[in-house]
Amino acid sequence: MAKMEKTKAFFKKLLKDKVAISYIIAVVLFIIGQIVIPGFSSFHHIMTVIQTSFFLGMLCLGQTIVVISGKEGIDLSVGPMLTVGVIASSAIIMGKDSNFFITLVAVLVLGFILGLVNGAGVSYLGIAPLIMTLAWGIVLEGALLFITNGFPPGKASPLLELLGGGSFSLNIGNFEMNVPWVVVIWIFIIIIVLLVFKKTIIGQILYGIGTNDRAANLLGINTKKIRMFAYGFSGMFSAFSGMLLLGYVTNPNLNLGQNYGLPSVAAIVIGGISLAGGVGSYIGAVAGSIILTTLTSLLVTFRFGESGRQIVYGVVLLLLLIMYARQPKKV
Amino acid sequence: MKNSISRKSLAAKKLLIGYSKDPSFPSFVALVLLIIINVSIQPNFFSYSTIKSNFMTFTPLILASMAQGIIILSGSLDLSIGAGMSLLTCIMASMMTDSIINVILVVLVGIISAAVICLFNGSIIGFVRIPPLISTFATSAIFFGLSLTIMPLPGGYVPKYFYKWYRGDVLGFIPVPIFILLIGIGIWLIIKRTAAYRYIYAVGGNEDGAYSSGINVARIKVMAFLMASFFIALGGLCLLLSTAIGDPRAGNAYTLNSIAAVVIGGISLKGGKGSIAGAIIGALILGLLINIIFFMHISSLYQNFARGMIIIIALSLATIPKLRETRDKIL
Repeated sequence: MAKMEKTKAFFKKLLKDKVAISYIIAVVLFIIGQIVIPGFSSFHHIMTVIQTSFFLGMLCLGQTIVVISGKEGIDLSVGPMLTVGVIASSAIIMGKDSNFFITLVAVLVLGFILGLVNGAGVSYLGIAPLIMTLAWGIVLEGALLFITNGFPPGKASPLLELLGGGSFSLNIGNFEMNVPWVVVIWIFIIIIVLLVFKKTIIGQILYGIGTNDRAANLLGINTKKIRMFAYGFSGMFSAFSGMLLLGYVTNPNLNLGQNYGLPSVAAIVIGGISLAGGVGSYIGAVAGSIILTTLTSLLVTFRFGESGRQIVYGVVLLLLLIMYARQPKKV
Repeated sequence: MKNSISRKSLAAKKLLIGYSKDPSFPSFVALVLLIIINVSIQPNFFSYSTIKSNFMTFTPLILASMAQGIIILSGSLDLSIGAGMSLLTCIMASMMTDSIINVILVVLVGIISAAVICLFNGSIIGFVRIPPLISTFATSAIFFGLSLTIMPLPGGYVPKYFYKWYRGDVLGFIPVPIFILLIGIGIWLIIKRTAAYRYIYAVGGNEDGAYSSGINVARIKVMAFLMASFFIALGGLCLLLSTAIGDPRAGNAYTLNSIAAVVIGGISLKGGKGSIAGAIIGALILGLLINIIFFMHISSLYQNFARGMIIIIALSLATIPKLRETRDKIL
């Protein structure tokens, strides 16, 4: 009897935990897929979906940092920033493995600096983040267009292709599993991010300025500077995502970053991060990005056509939001 | 006699000083400067035909910005405004035939559709309480999908006399785009006198305060969207008449441009501060800036870059009075 009470309490707690719910939703989506299309939830396909979620998931990491830093923080330039990462890495690496490390460093630094522009506009000029990042995104896209003349140079190197699109096989008994390298990288990043957010002073300061900017300021924290760096890191992770995306698609393309900006916001909201700032964890955003990618993958396999896909995507997104992104009722 | 003149000039001075404290004042100054620049590069700027052709392109943006302005004043945001306007063009273009009665009925259908669209958005934000940024993103996907269902490719039919009318005059000297704009301003002047409009400011400025003083916050938010629906309907109509086809992507640019115009016009994205006059001024500024880019024969490769930069620069300039304000607060 006591055991039953315990399980009941456990489930009650589970249903209140937004992160847990988002993982449950991801599993439910895979089950629906498996029912409609047998093989949708095979290990291989699940890995493929998670592999494609990685690129959105990296953008969500930047988005998470910016949103948690508060003051209506939001970064809608993550999409163009991803394109910057793709184009810059292909132009520097030029298909040669020997250029790999210099590319990695250059892309990370470039992303960080371009992100800092957002941060400077938001923190020091006082421009609303929404419009600042949107406009900066347009600037970046426009700049890429005239710098490359529409034809981005270079292509991925074998090592980058392996990291972005390749996988290694793992044998457990008779069961052979192909695990994409991207998944390994992602797990590694998730662990580091969670440690930094939960265990270090950096994480505490980030949550602190997000929860109460004024209090943090009075404690002697330079909130403006830290918020500016939050945008810098967002740019850096987006550019990094772009570099691995180049490895996934091999040839650069100026349209790769389109349709990533707002989905990254949707993903983190689904993952239980409050747009008001100061609340949430990256592990939820990971679930959110997996959910959205699974949804897109499902809609593609259903063969709805563009119009049906858009409608169903919008409706499902709304339903997800209605389920648990509702703001509390006033008392 | 002398006395009355000085009294008059004093009143004018008072009016000017009073307006200089209005949030839309910096943008008004910028507008005057821009008109001077435009006149210098385009000598026949004030000629009848130039004004007419300018307003043909400005009117949809001005109307969209008025709609966005009301919505943002109420503390929400509408990212589906462009998709909504496109949907209206598709609905109207798919139903029109040559008869005048049909055209009038179809325009009525357009107005009702706009109201339904806005009611949908407003209810999700007001009653279901989902953050506007993300819920209107979801609804914009739905609207885009619906437009594609109605019209997979741009097309439809608009009778020749109807779109010719848009290029003509009313009463022999008022160009039709300006006439439609005047209708919009007339509607705004009526809306302005309602109690609900004042409540919009209260809700946008301080939601909790408005709630505790007995205002039905959710209903006012929906009301704001309903008020905006008139302008979205007129904007969609202008868009349809200026292109003479229904296009699922026709309105895409208006989402960002309307938000930028509203912010340039001195309306705070947090809501409750600013005026619709500011939104109109902001839209004119944006339109004139795009005009300048056009007349300086900048290659289309650079246009997006220039557009984004202009928004950022305009917003940085708009923050100067705000910086003065914060300095005053500190001192």
